[in-house]
Amino acid sequence: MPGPHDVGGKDFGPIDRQDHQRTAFDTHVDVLQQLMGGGGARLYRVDELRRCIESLAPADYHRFSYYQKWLTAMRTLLLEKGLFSRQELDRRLEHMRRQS
Amino acid sequence: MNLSIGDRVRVRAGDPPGHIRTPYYLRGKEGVIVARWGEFRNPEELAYGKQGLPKRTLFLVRFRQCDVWPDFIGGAHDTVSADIYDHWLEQA
Repeated sequence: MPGPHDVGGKDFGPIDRQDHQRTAFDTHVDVLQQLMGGGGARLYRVDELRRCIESLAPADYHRFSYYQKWLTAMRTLLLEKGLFSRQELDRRLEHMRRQS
Repeated sequence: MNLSIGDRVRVRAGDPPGHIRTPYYLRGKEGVIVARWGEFRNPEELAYGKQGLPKRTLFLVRFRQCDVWPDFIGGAHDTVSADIYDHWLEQA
């Protein structure tokens, strides 16, 4: 089965040609990617990032924004490569939630 | 297998698991090689942190739209082109 990205020939209706406003979140994710990816610390290759984006659950793939897809894929890769564990990530998120 | 510009080729029809760069809608379709972009590490292996060697040759393949879409109603000269690596191609 092709992944959710492989949509050639499917009917999604007209293309939305409106310009998108770049959010602070978008910029933040872009900077993180530049720091961690091939142009920075080389923690992963862009092909790996792409694999993780295209491996998203179809519902998430269609629901997430462009940079939400990137961020989710970056998390997957850092977990895959053992830079931190799921428990460490959960603990950190919980900590941040309590602070906010 | 030595493919070159002008060769008629068929895209492999398989649906293997993993990270695949060949669009699903072109699998099993026949087209003609119109450009040879060069040799590159195989992105389908780079995607898993491997070295992607040996390098693969990347071609631009042109398909007639009426060969791609069974219900195509446009002109017979309408085409669609895609970059496809040699390990996805066979002589047609």
